Amino acid sequence: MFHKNKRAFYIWIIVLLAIMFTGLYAIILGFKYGHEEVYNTSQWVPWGILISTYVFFVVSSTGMCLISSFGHVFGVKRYELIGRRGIFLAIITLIAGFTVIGAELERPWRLFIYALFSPNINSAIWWMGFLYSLYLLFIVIEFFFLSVSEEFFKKSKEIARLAGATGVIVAISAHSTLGAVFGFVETRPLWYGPYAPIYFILSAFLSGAAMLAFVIITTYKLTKKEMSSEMQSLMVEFGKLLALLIGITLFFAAWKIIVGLYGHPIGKYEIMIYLLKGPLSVGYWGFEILLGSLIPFFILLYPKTRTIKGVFVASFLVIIGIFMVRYDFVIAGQLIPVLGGENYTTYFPSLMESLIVAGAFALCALLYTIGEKILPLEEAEH
Amino acid sequence: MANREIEKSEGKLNRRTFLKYATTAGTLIALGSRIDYALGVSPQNKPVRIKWTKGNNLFEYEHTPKPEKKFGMVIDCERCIGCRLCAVACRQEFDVPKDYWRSWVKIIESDQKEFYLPRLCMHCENAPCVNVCPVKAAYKREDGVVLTDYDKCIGCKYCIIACPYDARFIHPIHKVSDKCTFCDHRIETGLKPACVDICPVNARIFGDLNDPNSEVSKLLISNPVKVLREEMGTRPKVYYINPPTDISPTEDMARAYSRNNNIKPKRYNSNY
Repeated sequence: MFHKNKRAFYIWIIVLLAIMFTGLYAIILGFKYGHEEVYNTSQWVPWGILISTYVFFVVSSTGMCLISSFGHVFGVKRYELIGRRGIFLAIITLIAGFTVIGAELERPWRLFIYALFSPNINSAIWWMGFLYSLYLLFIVIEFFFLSVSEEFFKKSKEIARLAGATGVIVAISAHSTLGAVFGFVETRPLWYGPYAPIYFILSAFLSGAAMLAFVIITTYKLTKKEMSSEMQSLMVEFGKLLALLIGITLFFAAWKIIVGLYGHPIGKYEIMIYLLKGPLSVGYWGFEILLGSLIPFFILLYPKTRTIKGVFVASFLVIIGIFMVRYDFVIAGQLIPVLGGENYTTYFPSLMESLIVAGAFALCALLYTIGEKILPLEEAEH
Repeated sequence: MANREIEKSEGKLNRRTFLKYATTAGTLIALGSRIDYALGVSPQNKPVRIKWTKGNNLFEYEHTPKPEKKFGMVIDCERCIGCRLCAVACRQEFDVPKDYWRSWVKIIESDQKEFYLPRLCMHCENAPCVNVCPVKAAYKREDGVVLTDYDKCIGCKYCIIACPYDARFIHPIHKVSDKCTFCDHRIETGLKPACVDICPVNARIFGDLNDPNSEVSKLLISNPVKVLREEMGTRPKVYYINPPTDISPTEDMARAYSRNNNIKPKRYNSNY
């Protein structure tokens, strides 16, 4: 990035490192003084912004892997342009997600021993951890064999294709298991049911497409490279794909609201009122619906505004909206106490949690900047 | 023609190898899920040392398996006078940290009268906390007591999310998930749990549900008992006689943000 302007590049790196180390400091503070001092989670809201950020990163990673696989796995030629970059982004967002969840667990180092030697195959979190580790393995293999040239390793394209196909299967299983982590819990009426695993797959495509479009257009802008006409038409096609996915997501959201309000179902009704009219309503209406869905939808709907700039703005807004969607999903599910509580629970991210989230984004940006410089991420020459 | 034959044979080979790998993986996972029993990491039916928390410390006691017993509790809410000695005794026994409770008494106001609902972990037969723990740190012992293995717990808080009875919390000192344990170190030697022992009106009765002559079994036969949140399917082992039923004031919560804003919030601002 910033190939022409050395000074701006170094400032960018230093800013990212500063944010990253602030996040690391917050993590160390969290483990030193205990999570109940440093984070705002409590017995009533055990899962806070760190879990929702983890969900955000991991869902984006799965989405980017699935979309990048359109090219070299499913054979849609024009998506091969973004294959390598997409898989690389999928790897680094997954790493950022794992970092955030590592900060959330009370004793993360025990995970590696007891997840292997004392597994509970009834637990959705165990399957999620196992499948996401497999997924990471497969997309790393896929990226490696996508990057080496044909002369160096004869069958690299076929192996990349095989790894990609397995990666897609593992990604979909891992991802719906992540949805099942929420969907299995009968105690929480907002999450319970088969919809979370299914909806997460749709949301993965939306999140992945938005992030891919945003990062690709930003990269070409900042490195002052010329986008080839195929890439330009691919970006416009991303715009159309995004518009379709936003439309479907809005349809889901609308029915979720209607079902949650109709007949005042116990639990769901209180959560919906809190989301629509209570303290979370600014985040819901402002960020999730208006900024995150409606404005990008109308930008991308009309061909006149569906330019590269339009796709850039729309995808950025969608990313912000998706981050809010994850936050609302995780927090709203814990709003009502499970039995005999008097009031809604309260939660707002603490400073340290926000620093960790910022640090994770900075880590992503830093890894991408380094990768962009030293790895062959450009359009594949097939 | 030759190309199609090669394609077909390659396709068959891929399917066969895929099935081979899939069955191998499936068998490995099925066998591997029992690896904790093979390695002796999870409890089996032999004497085992179990830890219990007391404030800053972790003590141990030796537990001999009693598969013939099934411990349960009956709580008579009509006898309860709301003195909360049980909550205090439980806190004393384990030095439970400030702001957390393993057992408490829920006070429900209704028509200017107060009703009392003693609450604790239900030690469910089909415990959600046992089902969801990724490392089997929450487990159900052979005598029906649901315990936590403090060595294995990674603090993911899935059990706290899943419990429908607010029984669990993260212990701030040991950083693991903790809850009422039916005083497992006391019942090992034949004592009663601390809350049962101290109750001045015998509102809490503890015993062996499998024994037809125990007090709990007799109470279960002779009284109409209820369990909390039966629709969750957890099959709890703490049975209530005449509990106050108005313990889900969720509709009142929503009125605060709905059209009718004249509703004042309730007096007790706690979810305990």
